[in-house]
Amino acid sequence: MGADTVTNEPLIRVQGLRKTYVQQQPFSRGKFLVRALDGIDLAIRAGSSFALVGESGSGKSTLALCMARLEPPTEGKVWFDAQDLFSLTGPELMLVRRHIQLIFQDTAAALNPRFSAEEVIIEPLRIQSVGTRAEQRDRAVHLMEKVGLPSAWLSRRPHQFSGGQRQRLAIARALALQPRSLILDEAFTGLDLSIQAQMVALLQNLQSLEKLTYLFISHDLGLMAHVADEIAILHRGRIVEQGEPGRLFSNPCQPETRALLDAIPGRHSALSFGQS
Amino acid sequence: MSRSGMARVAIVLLSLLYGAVLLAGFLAPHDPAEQDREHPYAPPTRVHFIDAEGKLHGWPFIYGLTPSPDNFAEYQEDRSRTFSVRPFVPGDNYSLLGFSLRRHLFGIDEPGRIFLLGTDGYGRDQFSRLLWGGRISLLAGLIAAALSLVLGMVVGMVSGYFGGFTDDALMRLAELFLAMPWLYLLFAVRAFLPLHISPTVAFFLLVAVIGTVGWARPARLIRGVVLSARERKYVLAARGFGATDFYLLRRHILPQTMGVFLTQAALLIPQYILAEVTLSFLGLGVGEPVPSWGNMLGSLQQYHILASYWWMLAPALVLVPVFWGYHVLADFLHERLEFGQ
Amino acid sequence: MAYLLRRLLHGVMVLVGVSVLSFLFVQLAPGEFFSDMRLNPQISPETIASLRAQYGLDRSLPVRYVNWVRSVAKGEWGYSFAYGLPVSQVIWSRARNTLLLTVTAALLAWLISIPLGTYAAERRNRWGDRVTVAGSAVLLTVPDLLLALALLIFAIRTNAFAAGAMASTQFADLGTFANVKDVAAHFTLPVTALVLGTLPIFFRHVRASMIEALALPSISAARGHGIPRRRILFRYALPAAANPLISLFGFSIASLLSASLLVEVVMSWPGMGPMLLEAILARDLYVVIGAVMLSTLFLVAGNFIADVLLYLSDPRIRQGAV
Repeated sequence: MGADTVTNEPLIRVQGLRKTYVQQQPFSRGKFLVRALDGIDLAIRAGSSFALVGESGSGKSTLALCMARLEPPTEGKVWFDAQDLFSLTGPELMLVRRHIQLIFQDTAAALNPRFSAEEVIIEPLRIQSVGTRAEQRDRAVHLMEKVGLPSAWLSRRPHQFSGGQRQRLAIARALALQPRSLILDEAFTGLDLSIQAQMVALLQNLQSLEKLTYLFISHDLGLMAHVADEIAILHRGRIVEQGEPGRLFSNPCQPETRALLDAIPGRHSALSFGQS
Repeated sequence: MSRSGMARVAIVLLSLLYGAVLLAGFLAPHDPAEQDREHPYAPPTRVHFIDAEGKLHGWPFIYGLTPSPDNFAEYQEDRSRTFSVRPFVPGDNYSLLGFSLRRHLFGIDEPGRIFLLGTDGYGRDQFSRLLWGGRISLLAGLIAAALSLVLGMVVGMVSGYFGGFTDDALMRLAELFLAMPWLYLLFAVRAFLPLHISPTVAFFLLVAVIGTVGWARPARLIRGVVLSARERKYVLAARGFGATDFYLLRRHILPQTMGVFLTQAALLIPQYILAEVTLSFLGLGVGEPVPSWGNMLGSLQQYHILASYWWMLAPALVLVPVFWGYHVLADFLHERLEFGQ
Repeated sequence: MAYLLRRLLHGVMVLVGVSVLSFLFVQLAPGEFFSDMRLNPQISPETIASLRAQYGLDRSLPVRYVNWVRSVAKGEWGYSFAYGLPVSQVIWSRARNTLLLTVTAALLAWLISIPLGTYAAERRNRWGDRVTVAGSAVLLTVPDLLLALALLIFAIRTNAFAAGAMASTQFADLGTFANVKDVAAHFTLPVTALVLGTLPIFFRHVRASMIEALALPSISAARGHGIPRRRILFRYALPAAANPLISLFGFSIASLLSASLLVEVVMSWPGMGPMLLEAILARDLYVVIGAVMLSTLFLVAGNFIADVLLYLSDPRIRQGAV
């Protein structure tokens, strides 16, 4: 996907990322340490699509939050475009924030139900004080159309949209500040297969238009094989295997990888899809 | 009648009541402080249209009032003197919105006195005092509730949003306030303030005291809303765009608290009106000569007055529609809150 | 067990906190017991100073507080300036009367509202339910003050119940049984006022809890098995509703204490209410604090009893899951 936009320097680099937190046992008095992330190293090239695949509890969402600088890691660094993400402050931080946008799984929860679609989309512009009201409104129209939603719907509320349409709205919002990368945390989970296909198409389209870098986070290895240039398998806070989809499918090394492969429906039937 | 239908009636009713007391100067025929020592505890004046000879008068009228010859406590109508009730009569001065006015809605020919709700021990017109007194009681309740709610909002938001030590400390303080029976607390706070103070100071002090006692419950409820609102994904997304705490509180969290805020308002205001009435009734609130529904009821602590002069109960009776209106509103808001979320 | 100890500790902390708060308010008091005396030219400043020293009013606030706590630990609650007696003597008999009133009213209110609420919950939205709910709504809109006054008028006019005070003037002359009857007669009015005031709130809560409990799947299952109605109510529904109801019992103590304050004053029942009022008007410092502390103590005790009941009735709490 997007082979013509790939360059060689990593846009995002993660080094030695660790995140532990203390959790209280619900029924006893003990507290124990949860290692959500246990030493993660990643490099994502600009313009590429990277996928992190793991089961629930493997630390995927925590990683997404850390990389979007919404959670501080216990140890380790995240580099965006050669800048240390967690040492930035003030206006520099605001600038970098524009370039890493997060798309969530739960579309209903990701958009404030009291906002209109327009308010949802221009919120990032408002927060970062970009453009005048009129300019913001124009941008909202432009973005709606870009994600394939009629601009007449700008006055509607999120609950009036379907799940897939809400996700498009979220993408429109994420694009408002012209980011360079998107982190999509289980963005397709819960959507119908046909809708998933539409979303994939939209994202591919946007990637070549806007020169975007994608980080997908999912448990669906099958789907990720279609969209990613490189896949890393996450298990209990560690990356256990990493590589191109083709190699992983034909030659999985680790048991966790094999387990995920086996979980793909139709994998072992004669009609299983071919490797990309 | 549906909930929203009743709520509409309630709003109209409350608006009428508040409107009436705000226009007290215009609606009251007499000065609330004017005493008529010759007619203490007079019953409500009967208004007639047809006189003893069967003649219909142009305007409604009343007869003069004289004490009964055999019983000082009772009164008789003196048919020899009639006074007409006329509309838009110039009377005592009063001020409204900064203007000094003299027109009253209705008045009585001099030297007649129309006591629509009778008189008290000093011969003061209870109807006029009810209107003027309502200002004190209704407004005290409103302002005190506003105070409690604002305090509760601030504490609830700070506590819920920032969490940690502040949250713990504030919630423990709230527990303390909630642990005490509130009337005792009110009394205790009132006890430690100067006893003999001018009515104006008393009013503000009363409002401040009542208001500061009741912040705890709204604070707890609002904190709950803030806690859940804080975790919403759209708040997280906004933070990802670089939003400050202040922006998040103002734009995302505050609107969520409005529902609780309004419901609590509808519940607290009647409680606070009652608090003012109770304190003034017991002599701890607004005092003479300023009328308030509470101190108007004060004389009823003597049993013979309570038993003989039923019209003195008017300030207590008027509380019933006030309470009804606020309760209906609270129910309606509560229901809308739950289904709206 | 640990749960109960925690709740006990919690109650103690509340008491300590309240005592500190009350004492803090002392700081705000611009007037004190001796202010009026100061204005009297016949009393010399030295006399006032020595009186103040005698009552310990000349020491600083923390010292006063520590002294007070020490004496409370010994059972001494300070000194009443107005009565010239130790506060404990002044308060205790009054407190007993207030407890008598409040506890009886609470028990009666519960005794009436539980069957009534269950009745309404069972016949939800049918005639019986609507009538009781409407009745309770009507009662709710009548403020306590009006209720008390109305009852008094009724009593005075009809001469039905003894209105006012706790006993008739011939009290001392009557025998013990007649004494009890006499107190009971004086007692009826304030209790009625309190019960009528709190009944609607209890009723609402019982009804809501029972509606929830009756909607549980376990109840439908029981019905499906043909278990008789009464057994369902007592063995299935009521225990399920017990948890919120017992918690409510704890909270209701607070509102009852507040309500009783007013009712006692209006009906001249010699409880803590009238005493508190007098003490405020006389600036009798330690009596005021004593009354506030005692009422908080009742409240904390009531809540603790509710906690114990909860512990005994809800197995989830015993296991430490809550």
